[in-house]
Amino acid sequence: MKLKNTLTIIFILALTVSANAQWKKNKANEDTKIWRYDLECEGIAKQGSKLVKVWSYSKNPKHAISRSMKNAVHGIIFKGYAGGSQGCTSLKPIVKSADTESEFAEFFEKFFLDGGEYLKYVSAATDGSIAAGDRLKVSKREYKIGVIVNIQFDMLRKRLESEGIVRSLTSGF
Amino acid sequence: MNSLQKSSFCTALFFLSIISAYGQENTLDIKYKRSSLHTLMIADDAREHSEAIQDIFINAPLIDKFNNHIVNLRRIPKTDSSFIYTPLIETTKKKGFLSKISGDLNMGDNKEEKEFQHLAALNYLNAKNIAKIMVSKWFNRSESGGFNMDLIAERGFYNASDLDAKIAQNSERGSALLADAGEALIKNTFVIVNDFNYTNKEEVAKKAKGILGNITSVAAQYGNSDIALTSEATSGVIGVVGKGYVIKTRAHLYKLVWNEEVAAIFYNDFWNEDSNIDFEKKKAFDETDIFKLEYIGTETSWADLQSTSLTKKTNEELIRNATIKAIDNVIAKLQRKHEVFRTKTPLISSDPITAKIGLKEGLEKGDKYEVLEQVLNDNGVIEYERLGVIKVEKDQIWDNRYNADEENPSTIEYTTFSGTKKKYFAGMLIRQIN
Repeated sequence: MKLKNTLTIIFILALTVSANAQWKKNKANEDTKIWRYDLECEGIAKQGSKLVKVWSYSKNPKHAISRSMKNAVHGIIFKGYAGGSQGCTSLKPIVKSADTESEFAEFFEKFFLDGGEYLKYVSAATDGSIAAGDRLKVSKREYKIGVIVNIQFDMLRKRLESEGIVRSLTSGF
Repeated sequence: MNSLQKSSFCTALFFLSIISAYGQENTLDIKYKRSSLHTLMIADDAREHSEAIQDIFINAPLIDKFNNHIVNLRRIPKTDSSFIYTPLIETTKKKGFLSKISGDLNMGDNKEEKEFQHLAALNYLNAKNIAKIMVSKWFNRSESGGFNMDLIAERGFYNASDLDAKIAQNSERGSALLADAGEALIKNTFVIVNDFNYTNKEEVAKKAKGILGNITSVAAQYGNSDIALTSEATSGVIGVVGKGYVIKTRAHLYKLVWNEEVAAIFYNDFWNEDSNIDFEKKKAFDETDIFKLEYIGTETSWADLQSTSLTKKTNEELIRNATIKAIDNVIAKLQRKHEVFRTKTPLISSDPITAKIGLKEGLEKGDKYEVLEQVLNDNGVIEYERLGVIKVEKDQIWDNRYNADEENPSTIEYTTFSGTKKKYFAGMLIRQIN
């Protein structure tokens, strides 16, 4: 009888922990679902890569950090960035048309799943450390967090070419 | 002006000062850069133990927090004609027992000296071309007149934070990026001119005893035994306590003027390389007087080296300890006062509370840091809100000094602080406050 009670308690606890984790995940997804972020160039990266700082917004700073890689890859594909200091020149988005995302919705939904394929093309440049000044409270309930990441630009482009989402650079010649 | 106008004026002034204080906070330079320092002292050979003091000062090590930018000239002789001084005038008559002693022992409170000493020192530094000598040191000027960027690169690497290094690893130029960043450190070059004023406690005690002796004899003559006994007893206590030194240090701080204009002139008109010396440019640099220092401020601090007549330390040891303590005290005070010297870095974790700073930044156990959060206010301006204070934990300081891996191997890779863990998060800025 005693063992049965203990097992019931353990089961309830495990269920609560799992539900809580799922809630947090959903919350993070909710925060970034609308793809609200800013992308800026952080310097001249190594051949085939782009070094960018992605500013993500969230009610919970931890969510903003965890979503930054996803936002950065999304930004490189759909937004690009302006030029600036540190030798940065402007970068156009990989896809030219604004409709591409909805046109290939199924691919991108799968691509940007948690733990999805997008992770192959991005890495944290600073092991997740946040530079002084890159953690900003923008309102009573919202934070803006800047994380520097490295994007495997050439590889990402090739992957999208292989899916027929973008035309190969050599095509048309 | 009626009272209403007066009070309105005062209120306006009060708000203006608040706005100005906010303005200062908003201009906080969150990127900490190591400063480079040269120190000198005003040498007065007429003062007691002056030779020993100068020797100790010249050989005292510079704290790790600063790049050593010491050049040959370390002392400003008080009698040097370049050190123009307004003649001493009789100070306001001091009253009272302590004033009499401090006045007799010349503790350097002369008003004229206070007002003009920093200007006199600046005259001297400019007359001796200290600013140019310091620029030469930055660019490793050789005897033939060539410059190079070796020291700048070395200091650029050393100044780089862990985060800078990681970013550089991901960039095309790699570590060359850190070397180039060294150039931004030139404008953080400072000179401190110390004026030490020593008071031998035994001298004070002797004077105090002399005065108390007079009181005793007068009191005894007039039959007041209580006063006579009290002053005798006090005289005995002074005899035991009165050993050691009290040092008053007045430190004048100057900064090398290095801006875009000066840098452009330097690179265009004076730059020379050993492999191809341009004698016109060499001559131009030798003769130029464009390099200057600017006065930043003066701080005064006291160091009291307490010891009893039973202490076995020699006078030289006491003076040495007191001098080192005085130098440390005044530098600590300058660090508190001037934003540029205050170490700033982001937290890398909140449980435990850690940051990537260490002995290179001069951290010591118990050092206090305030934790600041950047907040965007309603007007779109960034403000810094202080969330609390954290302290450096004992034995948890990262040794990030040059060659520490070889000389002092340790598994500690960050410094740990004590404080309320749940209150702070990674990425929050911490700033030195003591």
